[in-house]
Amino acid sequence: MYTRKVKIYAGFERFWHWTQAVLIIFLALSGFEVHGVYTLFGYEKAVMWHDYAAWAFLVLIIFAIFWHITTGAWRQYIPTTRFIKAQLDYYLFGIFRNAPHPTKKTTLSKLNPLQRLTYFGLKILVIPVQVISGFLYLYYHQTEQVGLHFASLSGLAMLHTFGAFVLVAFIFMHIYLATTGTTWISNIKAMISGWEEVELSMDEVRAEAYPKVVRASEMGYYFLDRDGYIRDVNAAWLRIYGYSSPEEVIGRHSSMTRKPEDAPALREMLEQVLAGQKIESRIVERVGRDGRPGRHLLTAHPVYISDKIVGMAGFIVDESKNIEQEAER
Amino acid sequence: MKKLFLLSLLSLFLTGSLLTAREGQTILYTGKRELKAAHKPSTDHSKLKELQKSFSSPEEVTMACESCHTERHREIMATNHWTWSRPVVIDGKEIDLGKKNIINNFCIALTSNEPRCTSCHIGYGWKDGNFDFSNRKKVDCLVCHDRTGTYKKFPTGAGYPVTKETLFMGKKKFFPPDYTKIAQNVGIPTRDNCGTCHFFGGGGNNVKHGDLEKALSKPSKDLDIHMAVDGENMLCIDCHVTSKHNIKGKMYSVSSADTNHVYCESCHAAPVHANSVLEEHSGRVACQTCHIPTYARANPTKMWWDWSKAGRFDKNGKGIIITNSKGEQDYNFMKGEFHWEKNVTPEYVWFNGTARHTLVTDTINPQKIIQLNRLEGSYADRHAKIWPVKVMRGKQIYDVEYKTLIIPKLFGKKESGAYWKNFDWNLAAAKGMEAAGLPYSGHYGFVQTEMYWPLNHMVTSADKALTCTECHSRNSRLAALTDFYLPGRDRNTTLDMLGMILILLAVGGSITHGLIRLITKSK
Repeated sequence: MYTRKVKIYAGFERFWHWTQAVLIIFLALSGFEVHGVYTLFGYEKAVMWHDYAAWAFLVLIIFAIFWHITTGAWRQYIPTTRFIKAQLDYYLFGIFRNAPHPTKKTTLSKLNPLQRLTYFGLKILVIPVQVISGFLYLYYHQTEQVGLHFASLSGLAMLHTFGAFVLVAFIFMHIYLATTGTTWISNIKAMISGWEEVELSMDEVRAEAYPKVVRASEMGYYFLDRDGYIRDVNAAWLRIYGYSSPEEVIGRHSSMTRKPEDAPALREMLEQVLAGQKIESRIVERVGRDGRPGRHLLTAHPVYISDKIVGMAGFIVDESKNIEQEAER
Repeated sequence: MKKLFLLSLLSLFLTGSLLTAREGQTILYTGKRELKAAHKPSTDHSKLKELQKSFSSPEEVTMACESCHTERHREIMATNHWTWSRPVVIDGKEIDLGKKNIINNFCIALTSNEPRCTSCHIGYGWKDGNFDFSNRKKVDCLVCHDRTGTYKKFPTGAGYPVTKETLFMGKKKFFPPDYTKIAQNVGIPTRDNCGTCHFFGGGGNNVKHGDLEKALSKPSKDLDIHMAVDGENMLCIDCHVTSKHNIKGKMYSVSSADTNHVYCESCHAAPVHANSVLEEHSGRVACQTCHIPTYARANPTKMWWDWSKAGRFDKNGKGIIITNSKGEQDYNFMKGEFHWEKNVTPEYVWFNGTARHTLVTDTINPQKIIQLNRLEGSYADRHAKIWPVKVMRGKQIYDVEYKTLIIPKLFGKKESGAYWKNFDWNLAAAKGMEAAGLPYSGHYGFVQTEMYWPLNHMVTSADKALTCTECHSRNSRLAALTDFYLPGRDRNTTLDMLGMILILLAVGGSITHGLIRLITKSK
């Protein structure tokens, strides 16, 4: 419903993703040539470049591991079983009815539960198996010489080939599923630019909307600290009181807004609110700028910061016009 | 940011390539060494009084040589060129093994056929079992040291040249040597000296080895990169280095142990390939495997010899000889049926440097193909490498009752019982085995045999060496070596099928899902 452009993929993340994509595709192309499936680069070049790419891949993995640890991004891949069924239902049925995605993509949780599970499997199982079996294969004779013989060459080759099939199947699925974002290409664009329109939760909408609503409201807003000093007011409050800038009132004591005889009532109200009560509505006489009198409707409620009441805040609506109208009558 | 990406990308690939640094294809051999072709004798033999005379026999020449080169006969008489035999230990037992007593599937065996076979002995007069191996006069210096090209031993003369003009087989004329001229012009052995025997083993050019033949007298680079006259022009003894007349190198057709051999690595020290993966191959693949892609590239070699078909005559009683359009004998009534091949792709075997031999005294299983020599080794044997071999196949005579191979008497006068005069196998077998001092039951048959000849010559230029897919492909040259996993050749068909199904499911599933999305016009 409400979306926001969010930098969802960091620079390194995108570099890592695309380099890894290119390397895996190249490793697959050259690898299956070495497997004798077709002729593409020429066998000798296929072997040579497959080995280069393997080393490049290993270096990339080391950088990626470092990045994931230092940024804490590894947490994104912790698998969860929550919403797995919902996600499956979405891909099997919901998507054809334009149902909403069952899980929301946020910067803190970019991956849906199926992605988490898949990528976790890739990172923990498939890629390590591929890398380890690949390097044992590449340095088979050297490991043989130093007595580090884990498996026969055919065993290593078969494991490595199996991993390759899994990765190729993954790539096809991955490319297809990349089209299931908000639009056919939104996910792919995001992985290129880093930015994506992310749907906002109501809490996120609230968090963004409330301060703006209060700031722009025609109701005056005030915030007094525990000692009754004015800490914050909005533009409507200043207008109702006749002030032109917040500097004129911020930091001054709230008693200045009342006639001396009304000051105890204000203090009493503050004490009530600091004790946890709410003032639903009350008509009060005010003293504005240069002693200008007026009357307004007031609400007041305690303000909690870190579970402690730190002051009193509320809204005011000017009642002076109503009084004038009554007087005219 | 973009620059950073490019930079990291570059450094990533640079790291990758540095770690596996390989450039170029091969390291060229640039070692400085003096080749024998440039050798000039320090003595002008024509100025020696001892040689300024006429000689009435080759033995006189030998004595003249030895009058200056004293004790050299001791050296030569200690070598296999003289003894045709060497002691080897097989299964803890020491036996003498060599040309003298080995069985092959060409002319089969020396015993009882001496005068014919010993035309290639570096001696004079080994005509039967009574040759005196301690007689220094009988050493033939000239066959190796003649530089005039006129010294020829007569094919059936037990090592002697002719004393008067003689026709061999009604075709080739042999002349008595001019010993004075030859003796005054001696020098180090050239390719032709060695080739006079080694090119013609088995009774004709390139019959035996397949990689040793008269074209190596003046080979092109394509035929042999080392001996090429337009290249290094190396002589045999440049590789087969010689010390005190002991010439390094011996053939597994007649010897067993991996000793006194010539190795490529003696000159081409590792690493020889710039590509480290290629270099790694040398651990389990002999240099020869890739660098001798085919053999018998100039002239054909004999691949099959079926003695059982010998002895056919036409209705006029004339022995049948069938010559094919290429001039090769497909059939000869004296010897049987032949197959020839040119430009032959070698067969490949695991070989650890030790060969076994089927001796004439060994019991054989005639139901099987008899391996007259067997190259030992397997993938599991870490010392074994893949070697290219010529496999000579054929059928030859054996004793059906005693289950042994038979030494037949082939050559000799009619009254000696020789097969080539009587065409009676039974008689030839009896006479041959008698000469060898071995029993013969009186019942013979023919059994199929194989002989393995590792290839070493006809090395090509590096650019003509085998490329990867000659072996690393589904139709691999190494199809017969099934005891190991060879990338590109081997696969697990079940695994590959499962993998393909997995990929097809991923692709098919994606396409189907996408189509439904398009049809239902969902996003």
